[in-house]
Amino acid sequence: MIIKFKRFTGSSLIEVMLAAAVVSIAIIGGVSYRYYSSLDGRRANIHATTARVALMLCESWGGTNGSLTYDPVVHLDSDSLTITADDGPEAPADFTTLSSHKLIVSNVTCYATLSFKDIDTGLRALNVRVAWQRRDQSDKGLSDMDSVFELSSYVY
Amino acid sequence: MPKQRFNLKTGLTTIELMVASAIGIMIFAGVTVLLVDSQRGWNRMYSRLYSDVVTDSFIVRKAFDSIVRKSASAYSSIDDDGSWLEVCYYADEFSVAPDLYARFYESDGDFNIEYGTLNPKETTGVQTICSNVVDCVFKKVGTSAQMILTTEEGSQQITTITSAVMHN
Repeated sequence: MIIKFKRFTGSSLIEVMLAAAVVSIAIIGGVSYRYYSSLDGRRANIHATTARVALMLCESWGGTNGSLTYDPVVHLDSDSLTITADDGPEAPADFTTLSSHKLIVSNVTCYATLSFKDIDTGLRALNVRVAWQRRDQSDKGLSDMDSVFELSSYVY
Repeated sequence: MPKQRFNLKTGLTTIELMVASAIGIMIFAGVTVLLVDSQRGWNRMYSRLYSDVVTDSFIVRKAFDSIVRKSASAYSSIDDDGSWLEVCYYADEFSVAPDLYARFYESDGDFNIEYGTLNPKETTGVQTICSNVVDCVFKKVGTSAQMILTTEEGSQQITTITSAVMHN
């Protein structure tokens, strides 16, 4: 009687490579998902902050009934919200620029322009445009801002 | 007599074992660092969106907004340093003049709203909206009121800015 033992050959190179590729794709996919979730969360946070800045500028200006002497530096500047006169995004067509400012709040830097348009006797449209940078929050100036949020309000 | 044939089984040498172990440990360490860093980033992002200071910020904004928007600007008053803001509003549609007041202020790190009646002026209750306040400033521009509130918890600091126009 002849007893034969099956020879154990192990895994081939192709099998090992395929297994490594599958594991790599799974790991990279998982890490990417979390990375982009964090990034999008941060971007959403910045977006919400700048939107609130625009709303505050719009409402405080509206509270003065659209006064042309309204100055956010005088009215709103504080320790937690730094406002200085600076360049700002371009005002909409047919609107007259009132002032432009640089604002820093919660480590977010943005640039705002306030403009207005007299539509009819006593009716004035107020516009606030806020520009910020989505990718990097280091302050590199207005030219690097890549996103704009805009609000309009009417006072009579 | 049966004939038996056995394959020669050599096994692994010490060198092979050491090299395989080293490679395995390096891969394991790399993946571990990657996963830990990823988990840390995820936790940071999650707390940035859902931590107590974030939800407090949302509640404070809503409370300020809902009260200020129903108040009468002619009857509001504000501290010279902006440490408190008091607004007056109507109890119901039959009121001919504002008969209730609400005062927003910060005390010992708490953001409070004091409610009361105007005639006679009596406090009916104080509601603490949030804690961990490190800075709170109120502004009043024309008929609008602004609040700039900074809260801090651990390493996370949030500045809440909100504005509301009073209805008359």
